[in-house]
Amino acid sequence: MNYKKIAVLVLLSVFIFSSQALAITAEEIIQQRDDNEFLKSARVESTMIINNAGRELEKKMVNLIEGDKALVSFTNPMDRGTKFLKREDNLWMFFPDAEDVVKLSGHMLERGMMGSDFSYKDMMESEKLTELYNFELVGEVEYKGRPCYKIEAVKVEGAEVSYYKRIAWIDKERFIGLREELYAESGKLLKVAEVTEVEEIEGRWYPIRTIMENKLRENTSTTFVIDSIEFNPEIPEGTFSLESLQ
Amino acid sequence: MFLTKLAIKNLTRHKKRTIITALVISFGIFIFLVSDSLVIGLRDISIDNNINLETAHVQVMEQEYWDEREESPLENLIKKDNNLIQEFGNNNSKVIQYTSRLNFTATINNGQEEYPITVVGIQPEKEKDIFTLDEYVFKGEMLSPGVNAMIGKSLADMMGFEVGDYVTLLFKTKEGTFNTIDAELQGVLDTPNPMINEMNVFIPLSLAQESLNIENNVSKYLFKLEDRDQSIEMAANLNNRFKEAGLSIRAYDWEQMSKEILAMMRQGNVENLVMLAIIILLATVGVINTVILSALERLEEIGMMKALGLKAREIVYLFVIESAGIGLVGSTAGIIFGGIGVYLLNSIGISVSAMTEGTTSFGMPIAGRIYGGWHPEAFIFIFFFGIIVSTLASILPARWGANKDPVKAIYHR
Amino acid sequence: MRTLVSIVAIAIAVMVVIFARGLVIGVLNSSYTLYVQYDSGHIRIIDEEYDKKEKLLSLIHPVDGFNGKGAVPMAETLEKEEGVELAIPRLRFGAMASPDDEIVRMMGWGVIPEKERQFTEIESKLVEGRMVEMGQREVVMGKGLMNSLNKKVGDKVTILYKNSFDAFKGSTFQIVGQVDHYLPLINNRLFYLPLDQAQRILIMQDSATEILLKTKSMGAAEEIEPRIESLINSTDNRNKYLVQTWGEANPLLKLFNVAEYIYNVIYILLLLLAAIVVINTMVMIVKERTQEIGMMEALGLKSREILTMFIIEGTFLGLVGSFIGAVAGGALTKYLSVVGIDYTQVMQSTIEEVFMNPVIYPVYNIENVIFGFILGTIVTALTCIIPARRAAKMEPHDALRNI
Repeated sequence: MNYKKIAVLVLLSVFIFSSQALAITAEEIIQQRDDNEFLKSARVESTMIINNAGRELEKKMVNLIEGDKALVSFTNPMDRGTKFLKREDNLWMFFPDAEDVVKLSGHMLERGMMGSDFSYKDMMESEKLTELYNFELVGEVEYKGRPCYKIEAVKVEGAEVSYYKRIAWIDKERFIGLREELYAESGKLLKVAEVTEVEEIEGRWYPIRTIMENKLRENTSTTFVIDSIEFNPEIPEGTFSLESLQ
Repeated sequence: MFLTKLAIKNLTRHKKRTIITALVISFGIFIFLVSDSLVIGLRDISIDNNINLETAHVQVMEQEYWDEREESPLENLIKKDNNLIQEFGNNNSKVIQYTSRLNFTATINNGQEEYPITVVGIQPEKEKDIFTLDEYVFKGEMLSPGVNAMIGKSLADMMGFEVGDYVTLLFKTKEGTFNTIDAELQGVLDTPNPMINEMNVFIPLSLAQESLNIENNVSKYLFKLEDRDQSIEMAANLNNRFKEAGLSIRAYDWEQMSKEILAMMRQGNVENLVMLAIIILLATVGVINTVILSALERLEEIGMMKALGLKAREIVYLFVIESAGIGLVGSTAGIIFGGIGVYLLNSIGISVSAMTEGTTSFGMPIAGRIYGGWHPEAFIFIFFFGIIVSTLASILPARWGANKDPVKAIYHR
Repeated sequence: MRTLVSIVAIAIAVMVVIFARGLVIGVLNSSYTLYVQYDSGHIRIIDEEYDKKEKLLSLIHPVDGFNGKGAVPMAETLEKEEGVELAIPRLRFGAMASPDDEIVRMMGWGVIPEKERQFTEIESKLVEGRMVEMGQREVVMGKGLMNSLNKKVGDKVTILYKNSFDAFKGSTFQIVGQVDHYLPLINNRLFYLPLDQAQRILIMQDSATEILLKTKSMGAAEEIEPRIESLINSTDNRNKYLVQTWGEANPLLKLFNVAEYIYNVIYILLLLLAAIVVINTMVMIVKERTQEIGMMEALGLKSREILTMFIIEGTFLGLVGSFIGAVAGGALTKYLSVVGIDYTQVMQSTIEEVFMNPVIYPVYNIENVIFGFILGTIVTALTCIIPARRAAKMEPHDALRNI
């Protein structure tokens, strides 16, 4: 027997086995977080508080989600009657003062949703993160008293995503994101999303209160608060159709 | 021939009459030339400003980019090292210099507010020979390579930027990924072009390309030629070559890019016509008067000429030649005086600063002085026009005078 | 005959002078008027922060009245001020429509229809339908805009915009009228809607983006502006309003100042030209009558008496000629001031920022007519004097020698 060969084999096997036994990969962490946070089917009542250089606005909405379809209806007085319908990559809007449905396309999607810091486009690209970014686990740190995985994600070359780099702090035990930093290609920090309140609902931990801060403009942020979630609700047939918008 | 000589003699005999009538014509011509010069002067300045700040003489870009150029998209760009263009730019003797630019939309951010602007990536060393931006650097200095930027005064004032501050530009790369540039504000421009002052941020081309992940692509090429009149031909020339080579890029001359100024010029032409009409009218009146009054004065002469056997037709001819002569004198004097006036306008100009504040508007200068422009065609035109008007205006009154009954004429005395 | 010729010469010269002035003023006025009607008014009142953000059609710096009590009441108060003929609030905002996936950008003007009627000639530009009415969900659009949207009068259109809270919204209106205006801004970009509707959809109760004031003339505006400014600043203690004259509101108008200056210079030159024509005529006539002068002297008339006679004759000629010229010039100017000279073929502008009126209306001005009349008379009288003096000083036999 060739001693060198055995040595290499042994070393190799130790290496393989040890890595398997030891670490969870970055992708897996993200996957788990997304599984947790991703709503396959839910009814969510939420509030969005928009702070634009000191001016504050509050919007309330009811969100019905099923797979890649979503129907958002606004319930606060100023926006009551306004609805969005998302189906795959298409977005339609209905305004109570308009008599027909408006389809959003092209750079209309770039606009901030209802004046917030979440753009319509951001809302659209939620699911495929693992395909669009290369993830790396850079460490385990404590964030706001919780043990977290710190994951850096840099976009895959050529990927058409808005943020070049994302750094996420994910709660090790609960697998929900507690903080995410969004960077431009130049390395400049553009936005920071911070989860300030979490809750366990039907066995899943969920971020209840998230603040998205625009780092380029003073005193500008959007706070997203979940008032109630119902997982896998009864959603009537034909909810996600254009007709239901009007 | 005899009649012509006689006509000339008559003119010299009645010098005063000749001179005063000629004066009418020459003064009218003087007014025409001076106002024409002013209009041309204004027009030239705005065109020059436009060419020297914005369009250059000829631009080359993809056809599809031309259609969308107002939006400064990142599609349909040209490769920077396009051989055909480079060869043309380097070798053609009529091209003084050429450069390329990369334009894209972004928002400029001062930490509190953001404002949508267009970023223009330029090559400062080449731009020096093409554009006059460096003459309008109001504060700071002209752009140099590095992470630097130059913005217009209106923009700087609005966002509160000073030279040395860092301006943040937020935009999306070709793939739609956010990127930022934190550039040091090197210079503030105060140009006659309000759009540049309000909407443009200049950065080095290489910085633009890097930040957009568009290595080696540019939005367009810009050429400066020896003479702006060569632009249309040059563009057509280039287009033929492009078509032959099967390329989709096209050349566009500055006129195609200067709609506003040409629209305003059209209004100037109309006023010129009105002016011309008024002058014609007054000059005609002057000439007709002269002919009638001189006919009245020379009734005996006419009578005698008829008695000597001259036909009415020949007498008419005599008068008309005399008027033509007056026209000739008037036109000559007119263009001489006009020439002096225009020369003075060109060198000294008219001061208008007393009534306006601020610098310029839409490329037209409204501070300091206005200068005239040279328009040789106007001189030639009005010279012949003056003679023609004098001649034509005299025909009817000459016929009237020539048909007076000689007997009655002499008897009238 | 001589008399006739000289009178005609004087008349034409005076007529030309009067008409030219009217024409020049008319050209300038036309352009100024357009800017006054569709841009800055004679006096403009805006929030001082709005000045910088105007290009963006910002809605966060509106005119909300005296101490926030409403733009319309503020306008009504201002209209009662002496010298203010009209106070016009406007609410301007950016909008778009999206027929067939294309984006058509537009500008909406929330207006009080009655005020617009009085201030601009917008109703005369209606080619179909009618102007909007307060309280109704209706719009009036330019011909070019309706073409881009593929709509006709009677159709409904859904307009997308951002309200004053920066929220993206849509509203449907009915198109009740179409205008055809030579200004590209109005034809291709603008739509009118009632002010209250604009306020409702933009959530800007009682506000406007600006209040324009109409005064008697451009000059009157400059006189009244300080008074308006102090009135506003003393009534509203927030000190947030900017009161601008038309020249301050629109820097482009300074260009017209230059044009005016140049025109005035040219006008003076024309006056000289006309004067020379008259002089030309008169000199020849006087020279011609040298013999007569000689005869009169021989008959015993003194130089001074001869001179006086010529002056009287000259003045008389001047009066008659100028009078005829003044009447003719005035009539021509008056006629064209109503009918206008149509340069549409030559002067179509396609640029939105530049307002040019392709029909020129010379301005009929009685002072102008009188001025022309007096000028003609004086020039004629004066031009008789010099040659007459010279002739009167000649010895009779020299003068008579010409026989």
